[in-house]
Amino acid sequence: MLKINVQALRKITGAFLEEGKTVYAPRHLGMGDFAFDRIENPDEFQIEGFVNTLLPPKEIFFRQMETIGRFGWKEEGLCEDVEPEIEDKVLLGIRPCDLEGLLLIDAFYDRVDADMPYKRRRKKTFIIAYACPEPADTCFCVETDSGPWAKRGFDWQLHGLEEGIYLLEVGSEKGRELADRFADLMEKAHDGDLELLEAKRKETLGKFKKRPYIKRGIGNIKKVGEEVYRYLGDRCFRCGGCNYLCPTCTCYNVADIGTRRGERVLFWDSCQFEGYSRLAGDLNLRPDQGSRLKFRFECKLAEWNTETYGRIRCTGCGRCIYTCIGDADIDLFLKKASET
Amino acid sequence: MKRNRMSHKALKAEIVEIKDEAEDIKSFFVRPDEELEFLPGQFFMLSICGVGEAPFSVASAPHEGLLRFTIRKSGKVTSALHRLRAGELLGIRGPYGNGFPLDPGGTAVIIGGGIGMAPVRSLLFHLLKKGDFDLWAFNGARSPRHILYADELLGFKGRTKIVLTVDRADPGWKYEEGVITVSMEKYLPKIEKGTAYVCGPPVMFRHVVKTLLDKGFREENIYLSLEAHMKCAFGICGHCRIGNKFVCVDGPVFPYSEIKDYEEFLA
Repeated sequence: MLKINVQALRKITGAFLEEGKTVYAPRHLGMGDFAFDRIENPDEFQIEGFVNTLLPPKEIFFRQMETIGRFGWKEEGLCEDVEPEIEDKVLLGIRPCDLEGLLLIDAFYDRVDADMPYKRRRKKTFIIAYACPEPADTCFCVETDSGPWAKRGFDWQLHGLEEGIYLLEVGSEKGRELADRFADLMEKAHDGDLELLEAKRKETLGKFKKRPYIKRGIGNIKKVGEEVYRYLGDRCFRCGGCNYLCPTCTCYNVADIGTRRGERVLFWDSCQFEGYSRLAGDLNLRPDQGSRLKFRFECKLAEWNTETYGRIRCTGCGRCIYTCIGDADIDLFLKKASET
Repeated sequence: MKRNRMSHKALKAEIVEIKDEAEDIKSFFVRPDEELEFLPGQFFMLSICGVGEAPFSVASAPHEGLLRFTIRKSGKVTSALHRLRAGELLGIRGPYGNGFPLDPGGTAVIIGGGIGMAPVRSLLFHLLKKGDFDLWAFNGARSPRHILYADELLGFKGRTKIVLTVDRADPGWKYEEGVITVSMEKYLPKIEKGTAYVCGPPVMFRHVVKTLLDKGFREENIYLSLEAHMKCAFGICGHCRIGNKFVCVDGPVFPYSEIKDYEEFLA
């Protein structure tokens, strides 16, 4: 473990920016809301003092909407491809739950050899994770083995010791190289620092709301009865918020905007929308909201996730809980599932 | 450079000919800019700029030359396709999906309901050219106005048996009347060894599968071609997921034994 303070971190960020790297880090939007944003100068980011960003940083790689083709500009009837621009980037301050989310999206893409913007963007990314000292009420990463500190997938991970002072954990070869390069801005951690880290971690774990029903509910996923889905379906407002805020949701739709001249765009979709499962001829594979919720909960929690992705695809970030206006969220679902 | 078909990048294809097949159903014979080899049961994504893209199975057999798509007017993209004329252009990408197993290992029983006859037509004409099989084909539709390929199917004799049936006949109809399983019960013998290939509306699947099981087929020898409205066709967009499978890459053809628990596809 190395030790670094926030001033040194800003210097390193400055060096990244000077080299032409794009840096994405949390920025305060006001009213206590934080979001990942492109940082233009090293004073702009803030990585501690809040639990997590409103949206997971997956949108840096998987844009909410993006143009994949243009038509009617050169030749009639042909959609020309638009290639995504790829920056050499640094992702600073990503939380362990969202990092695990990115790794799960990687695994999802790795099943097939598809040429997609996400995959291209994801390649050149230096990840500096920030281990969480303080959970929110809705956080349950301790139950899904995805936090409050990351165990994989980072180049560096910062562990707060006190405000503005972090232990820096190197997690990759690239991370080692860069740590060597900036060695004069860091020092070696002492035994006392490591003891303090252990104490901090214990304290953090103690702050999580106890949710014994989460693991029990996940174990029962196959047995959950239709009445549970119906009950939650009746409460669901079909807003799609759970999908849009989810660090592992990847579904998208494609549409042409414009008639004779326009663009083919790819944009986030939600399995909670009626149109998601619609087929030709007014058929719908999932005509009721209960079956759509079942589709979503199984996508995240079914046992086949472990076979294919090595784990369930919920990372416990809790965003779908606080955004759900109908209280039809995964927390209530797992409570019900645990009673099955 | 080899084109990566695992992306949204489409080729251009010219519509060479359009044929009226049945009420609201036309066949489009298209020639892509590059030759696109495919297997019966695979599908392509067709697009019209400014309207959108949708998946369509190929109705022609690989040896038949032009790619033939038999398309029912039912939504935005298909309505726009129906307005096109010969000589106009389409976007095309594919082929996608697994296709049908091509060796029936005995008797081949092909069952197509409505527009579901399109993908099994590809298989039927492929099998007729490739081998010497005992072959049954049941082609069902709502009414005589909706039956597909009748003129192409009636010339076969010998070991190829074709049964046309409609739910409601009219006075000019010379063939069977009743849902497709009625004809299957009536004509299809017990099958010791063979493969069944089924495509049709979800409501047809369960009844057809039951009849096939009664006739001696094993669950793993009954193949169903499923429909889903995929947006990517290479396993990413998510729309065609069923459990841990994706209709676009793991299907669209599945043995019944693999999907019998997925109720939404077998309404």
